[in-house]
Amino acid sequence: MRLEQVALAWAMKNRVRELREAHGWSQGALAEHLDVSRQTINAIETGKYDPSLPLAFKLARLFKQRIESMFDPDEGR
Amino acid sequence: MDKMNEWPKWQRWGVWLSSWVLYLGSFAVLLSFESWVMRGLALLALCVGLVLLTYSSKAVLNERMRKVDRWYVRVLLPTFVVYMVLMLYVWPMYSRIEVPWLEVIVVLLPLLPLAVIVWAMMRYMARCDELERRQQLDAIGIAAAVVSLVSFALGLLAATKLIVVNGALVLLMIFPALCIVYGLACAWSKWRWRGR
Repeated sequence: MRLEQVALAWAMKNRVRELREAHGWSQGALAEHLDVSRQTINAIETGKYDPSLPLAFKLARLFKQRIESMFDPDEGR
Repeated sequence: MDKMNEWPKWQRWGVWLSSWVLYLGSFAVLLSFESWVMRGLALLALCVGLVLLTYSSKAVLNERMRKVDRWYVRVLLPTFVVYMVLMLYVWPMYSRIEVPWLEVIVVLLPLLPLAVIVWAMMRYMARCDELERRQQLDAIGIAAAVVSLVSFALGLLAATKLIVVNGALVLLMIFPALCIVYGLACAWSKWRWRGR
């Protein structure tokens, strides 16, 4: 099993893409709001990378959501 | 140029390839000619190539230049020019200096801009986002592993006199080798995570 597949198997499910699209933002626009790279947003959305707590809170605040409603630790495993 | 990531794909790749040609070509001119005019022009072209390369490398990955990237270029560029001027014009003068302590200062002078470059790299990494820091960590790990293995292999071969190596040259090549392998590993890592 490749490293990315292992990472994907353990990644949390999240609603970042759904919420971003609901706001009509591109990945680049969301990245600009959070001052991160577009790659980071793409990696979070595709489940290749789990954000740190501070970034997860920033995302939740930006979308006015509770953090647990955005990220589900059980669903991805 | 900040919005280069929004240019059509062929334009972004065109600029990226051209900037490589400009960068490597001006390096070759810089090392081949001794006249002030040619070296000055080559240094200018090198700087333009470096800036274009930085912007287009981001753009081909659909990334915009962030504040931290622009800061990095602003610090790196003048420091790089100072380093090149010192190496081309000041460092070769050491043989004409007869005062030993002054000779040591002249010989070690290029370390000053190099220290600024290392400081800028560390500050840049600290200001990158978390995924970029992970990519940097991967790249540094790969660079350290490759350079350690190659230098250890060279050491084994040299110790048994199977090859003859110039010790000073090997020591001088460690830093550039680390930078080159780190750069390649960084590019590979960014490409792997690029997404669409």
